[in-house]
Amino acid sequence: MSDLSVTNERLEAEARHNGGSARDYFELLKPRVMSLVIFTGLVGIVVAPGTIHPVIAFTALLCIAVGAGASGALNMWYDADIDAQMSRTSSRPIPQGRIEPGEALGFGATLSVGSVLAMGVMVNWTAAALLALTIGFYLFVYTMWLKRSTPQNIVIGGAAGAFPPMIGWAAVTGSVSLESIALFLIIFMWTPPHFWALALYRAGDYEKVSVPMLPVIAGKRETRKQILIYSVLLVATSLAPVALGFAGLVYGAAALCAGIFFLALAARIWTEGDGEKADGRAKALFGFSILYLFLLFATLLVEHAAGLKIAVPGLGA
Amino acid sequence: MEGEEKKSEGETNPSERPDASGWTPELYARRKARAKAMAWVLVAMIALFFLVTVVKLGGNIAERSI
Repeated sequence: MSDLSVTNERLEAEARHNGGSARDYFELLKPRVMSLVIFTGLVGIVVAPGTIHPVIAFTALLCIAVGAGASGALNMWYDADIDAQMSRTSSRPIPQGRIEPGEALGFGATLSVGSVLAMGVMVNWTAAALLALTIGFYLFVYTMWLKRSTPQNIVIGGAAGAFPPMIGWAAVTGSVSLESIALFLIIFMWTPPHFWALALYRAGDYEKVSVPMLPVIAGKRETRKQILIYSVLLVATSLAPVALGFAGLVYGAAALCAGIFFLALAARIWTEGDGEKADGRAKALFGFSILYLFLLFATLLVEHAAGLKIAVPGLGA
Repeated sequence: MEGEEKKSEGETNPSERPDASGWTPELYARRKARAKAMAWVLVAMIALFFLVTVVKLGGNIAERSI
């Protein structure tokens, strides 16, 4: 083989690997996940006591968004092998060959370090430490350790997705308090029924790539039972902001009504069993769970922003 | 060799043919779009750093002891 043909091959390979567009890089940031993270982070900022300059609040949100996006890119880098085999993830930029794994690693690492430093310098170092913890937890604890080794992967790993309102709160107050932990716990309890509902009708995908999701390891019956248990815990946790006095009657009523509907959907999955409507019911819970979390945090946001908070008698100001 | 060259030339659209460095016009266009996106991100970062500096220093400058 001549030197010229070797050079041409190298150039052609280089050309193929330089094909990623700006949109592909944006896709690495998991924009849909990022939107929920930004929203819950915003609620943390609005609900926290004290004031924050709008420019600093915007900067905090931007850092949360970029940090979350960076975790997504690092997750796609590490999971590229299994992403390629699952129908839900096979169209991602790395399995499609539009972006090289190394490029995603560099992109994710740069954004991770950049977002944490920017948060520390421009907002405060408590928020920056929590952001670093979030990214580290998602990459090292969830993606690298738990995801492929235990069916409890999304229970413990769910903590990474629960940090954003706590980071928003810390951006305003510079500290972690019981109220921000309550916001954290709502998302923490929400994650298992949300992901297990998805795993119920995508169990085949996870089995194919040996990811030990609960339906694959413990079976669908046990998964349905766990969904119901976590749904009860979730609804109880969703009322913590009222009990702690930083949410009022409007939030309490919304959380209770939405919670009862959530429980009804979880119970319907349990009673349907492996029946022919099983997948449809799991999909319904998965879809509603996204709306549910949005509704809880939106009500909290509106209640604080519009001054609609009517204290529940005997439960704080 | 010559026959092969003609065949491959006939198969591809002239506007999609790679140049001497192996890059097609489409790849150049993507690189240009990436560079533009990067430029916008840098401009936005400069604006953000400037704004945050003004916000953080603003009060201190106005209220400094002379």
